[in-house]
Amino acid sequence: MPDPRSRRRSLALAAGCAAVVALLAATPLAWFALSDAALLDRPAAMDQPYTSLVPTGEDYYLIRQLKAQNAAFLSVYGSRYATPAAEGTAAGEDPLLYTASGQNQGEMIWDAWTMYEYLNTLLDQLYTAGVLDDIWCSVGKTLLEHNGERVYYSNDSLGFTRISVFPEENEYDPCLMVVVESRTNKLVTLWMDFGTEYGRPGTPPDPAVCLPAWTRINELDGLGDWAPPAGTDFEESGLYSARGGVLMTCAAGNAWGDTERTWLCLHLGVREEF
Amino acid sequence: METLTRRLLAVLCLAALCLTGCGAASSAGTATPETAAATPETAVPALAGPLTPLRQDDGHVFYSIVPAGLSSTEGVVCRLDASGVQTPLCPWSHCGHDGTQCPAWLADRYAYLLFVLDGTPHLFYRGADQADWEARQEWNRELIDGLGGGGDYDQAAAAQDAREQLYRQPPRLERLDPATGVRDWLCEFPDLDDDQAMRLAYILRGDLYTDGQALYGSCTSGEDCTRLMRLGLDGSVSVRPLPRAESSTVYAMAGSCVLYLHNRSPVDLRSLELAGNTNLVNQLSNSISYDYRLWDLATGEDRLLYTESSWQAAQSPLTFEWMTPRRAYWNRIIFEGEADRRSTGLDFVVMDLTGDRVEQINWTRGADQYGYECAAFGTRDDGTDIYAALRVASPVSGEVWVFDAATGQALTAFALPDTLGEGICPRALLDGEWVVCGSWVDDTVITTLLPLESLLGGDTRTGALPVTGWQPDPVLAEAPSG
Amino acid sequence: MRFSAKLVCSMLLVVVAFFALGGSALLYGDFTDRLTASARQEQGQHGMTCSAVESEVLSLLRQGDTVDQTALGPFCSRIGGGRDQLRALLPTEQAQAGDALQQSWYSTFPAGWTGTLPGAGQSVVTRWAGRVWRVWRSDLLNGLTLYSAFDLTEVFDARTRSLRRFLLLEGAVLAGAGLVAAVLSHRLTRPLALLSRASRRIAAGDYALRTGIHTGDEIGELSENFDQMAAAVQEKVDALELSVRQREDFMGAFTHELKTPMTGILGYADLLRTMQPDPDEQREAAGAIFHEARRLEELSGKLLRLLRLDEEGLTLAPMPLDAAVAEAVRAAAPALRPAGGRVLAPATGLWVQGDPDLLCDLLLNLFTNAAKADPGGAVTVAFDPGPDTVGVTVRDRGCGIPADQLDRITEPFYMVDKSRARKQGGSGLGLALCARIAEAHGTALTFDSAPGQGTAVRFVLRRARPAAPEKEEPHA
Repeated sequence: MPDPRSRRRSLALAAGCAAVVALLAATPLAWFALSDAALLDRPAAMDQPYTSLVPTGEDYYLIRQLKAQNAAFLSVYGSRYATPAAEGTAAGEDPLLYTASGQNQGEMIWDAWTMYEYLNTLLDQLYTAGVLDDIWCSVGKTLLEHNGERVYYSNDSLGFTRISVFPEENEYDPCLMVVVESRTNKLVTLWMDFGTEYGRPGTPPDPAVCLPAWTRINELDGLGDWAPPAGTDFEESGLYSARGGVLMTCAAGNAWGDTERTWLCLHLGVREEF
Repeated sequence: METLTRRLLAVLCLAALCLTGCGAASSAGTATPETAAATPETAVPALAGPLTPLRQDDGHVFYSIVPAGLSSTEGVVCRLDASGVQTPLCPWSHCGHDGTQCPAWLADRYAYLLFVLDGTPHLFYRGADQADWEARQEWNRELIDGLGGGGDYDQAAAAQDAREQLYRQPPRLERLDPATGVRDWLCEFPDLDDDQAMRLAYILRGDLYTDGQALYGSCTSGEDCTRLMRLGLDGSVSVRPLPRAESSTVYAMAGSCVLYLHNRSPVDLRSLELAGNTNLVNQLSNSISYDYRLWDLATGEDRLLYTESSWQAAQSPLTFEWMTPRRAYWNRIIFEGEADRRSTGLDFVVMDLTGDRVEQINWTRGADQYGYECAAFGTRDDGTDIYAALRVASPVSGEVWVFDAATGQALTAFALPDTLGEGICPRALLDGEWVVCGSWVDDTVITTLLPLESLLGGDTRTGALPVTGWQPDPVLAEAPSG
Repeated sequence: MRFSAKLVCSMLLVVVAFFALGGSALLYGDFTDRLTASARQEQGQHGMTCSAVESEVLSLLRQGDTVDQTALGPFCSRIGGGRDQLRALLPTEQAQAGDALQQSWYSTFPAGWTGTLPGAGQSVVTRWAGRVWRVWRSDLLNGLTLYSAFDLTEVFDARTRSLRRFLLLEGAVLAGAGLVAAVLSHRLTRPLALLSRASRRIAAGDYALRTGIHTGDEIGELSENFDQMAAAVQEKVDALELSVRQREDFMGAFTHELKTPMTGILGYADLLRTMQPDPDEQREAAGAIFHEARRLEELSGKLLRLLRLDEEGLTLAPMPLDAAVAEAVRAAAPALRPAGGRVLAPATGLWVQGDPDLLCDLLLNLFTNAAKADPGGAVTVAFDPGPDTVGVTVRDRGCGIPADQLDRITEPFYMVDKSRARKQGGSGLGLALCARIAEAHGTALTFDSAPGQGTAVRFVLRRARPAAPEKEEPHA
């Protein structure tokens, strides 16, 4: 006669075994529950991530225009810094089709209204975008305000417009000058030159702030490789893109002459390599 | 079973070896194109020794190219020693030294550099460019036509032909036998390509230096890129741009360093000009900084020694005098007055190249100073390195100043005798005691040996030794400048 | 729990464990393959969309036009998506912010999307609104980001269906496996039940029972060993029973032999005490008492000797056989002379290993027995010497011993003819003692007898080297 106690134990063992069997049989459910927990909502890197197209200077209208301007100017006017391309080569063709924009009052067109407003708006835009800080923006506006009757402009053959503000009649050097690409209204050069009566700003706008902001409003930030050109003269004042072959600089200094003067120069120019 | 496993392993190992072998072979076979044809820009061998300026003397003999002949460009290679006798480097005793038959005769002396290396005189023929063809030949053609007929005409025409032949030849290095002057062509320097920049690079402006196995100089291309050029004595040419190659000028080389000036502007003047802003560029030229930099060819380090603004009211920019491995010597004119700047004297500037100390020694000597010209150096008996510099007080008078090269301290100064004429220039120091001095008197080049000890004692007349010996025919036309 | 049940449980556990794990791995592998294949396709489509957007951006830049929502929005809607695909294009800066899709330049993601969004160059699988999506993100040039989402719900649903089928299959497999396991384990454990039953019956006393299982495995081996053990137990029990029986017989016989003379002695003594017998009756009574007492004495003497032999060991030494024979002949003379019997024993000069007293006793008993069997007859002693042994045979021509009693005559107190033996003063211990003495000498008594033809008793002694005689001192 089986002992009731051992009978109870047998029953308990059988029940336990059945439970374990049931648990093991449910392994796939647990497996998938765990694997789903590991899969869902867990970002994973792509094994072949999409590689973005690498833009070059040729992809940007502004840069193409700047390069064309450089080549045209060089072939027509020459430069102490570069040699024109040899005649007969592709780069040396049609040199006579280019005319540079006038720089003196006698070569430029007087427009104290539209261009005045344009300059005003431009300075505001530069301030809003962070290219100019409030000190420099106010200096620019003051220069414009005080010399508003002597606003002149000129164009070159490629659509670059120069707007100059002269401190005096028959003065050779402007106190405020901008060059913009007329189709896109993008700023290429900004120049200020003034005496101490307009203040002593001291330092230029911080290149680390001014230049990236300028790349953005010129829609050139897509080049993606803007960096201070290390080991060059423009390490502290510039931002260079090797893909685009362009260099932006922001510098200020003192000019010596009869009186103490201060100048500011923001310039975007072509530089294929260092 | 074991044997089978071993066999399988052996086959697998063999297969693995074959695969790696193929991989290595294929990678070796496809050598990168760059290594096959090294561009001159990159393959610059290391220095073989300290850089020293090329000299025209070996301490005992002074070699020079003396203007000669009927045209304005001929010359004769001559030697001069402490005896005071100048002789052409020609073995023929009855030679007129006026044509191609004479080894000492040069059809165009402006196309040659004469220097001494390992105690032997060498000639470096620079090659010719458009300027040589057009300018010099044109000058001489007019000259020759003016001679009419006769022997002189024939001689001059022969010289013109010789020049024409010369200009077709590539640059080369020649070694001269010190005794006979016979010229031995050591090597030719190949025209690398038709790139005008490379051809112009051969027109080495400035001084040449040597490390014993090559000549070093600098050249600036039309793209305003200044490059260090190495011309090996084996005919190899290699070029390397300066670390700051734009708007730069090489002053000198010594030890393993190149001393150069870099005009620095925080604004890219080049692109500013090419964008049509020529006026701005002019305005900004006063904002350029002069960076005096030292480039160590051994370590590759490029260091800023000293910087100053290009425009300073009270002093002129630095004028280079001389460089040793440890120091660079400069001078500058001191001005007074704002409205009318008057020069009031000269200051002497010493740059310590091993540290960063720049010392300006105020050393004003009277008004109307024209600065220094020419320099020569040598070693005294007591081992002191000295150099002699001519300070031109006026177009017709001058003084020779002798400095201790280690300290830059002026040891003495002496006025040159009036008999020396004009364009006075100390050229060399022979045997440690004779200063070779060249000058022009009545359109004639004269050379005088001046005893150094007397000069150091302030005596400029005692012992002055006019150099005798061979003298060229009088020059019939003005020597072209440059 | 029964062993067969344990076997069934173990087998089921193993089956379910491997089946479940294997099945899970299989299903998971299948599912992963489908996901991977789908991922490859999706990545390709996403890449193509990225490429198309970037080309459009570049062409805008080349023309000098601004890259903004107005310019790209229509383009994106042209390259579209579908019900199973979602797209969103927005500036990268806004993608870094939390509510990325709200600020999209173009988006087909449903409003209120709360699924997880991946980082740049990543993909993520997420659930939203009851469906499963995989979202891809790439950062494009000009500071733009593109999200693509693909519907994966069908893949997950297919997996669920496979899982369901698998679980059903698993249940069936387990049921079948359980049944088969039960049958097999029952067959395998049956010998054990047999063994158990056999051991119970042997414990109950059936020592002759054997299991007889020969399965050729461990259980068969166990059964054979069990049977051997049962046989050994049975032998031991039988031997013990025999020993107990013999002891009881001995005690019975001893008590009886002791009681018989005591009865005679007590009777005659009582007679003398209570009655006043005449001198003849007194002499008869005394004689009887003396006779019985002598018998008792002899009995006790022999018993003592027997006991002493049992208790003490015997040291055998070389001794001259003739001496023991002679001594026995002399001792037996009083028993033989009255009837005229004699012992004929030749001299042998042999030496044997033995105890002189015990051998003498042995021979004396054999002579007296022979004399009792054949009063007046001759008892012959024959010697049969060999190289190492010598056989001794004592023969008489007496009444002989029946063959069926030859086995028992050496038992203590066993008498063939009780009445004759008692009358002759026998106790029944003589031959028992002789047998013990023979056993002590390493031999045994063998009897050759037939009724009416006499009896020959034989035993074999080991020969010994004669001990060196004591040297007589030479006469001076």
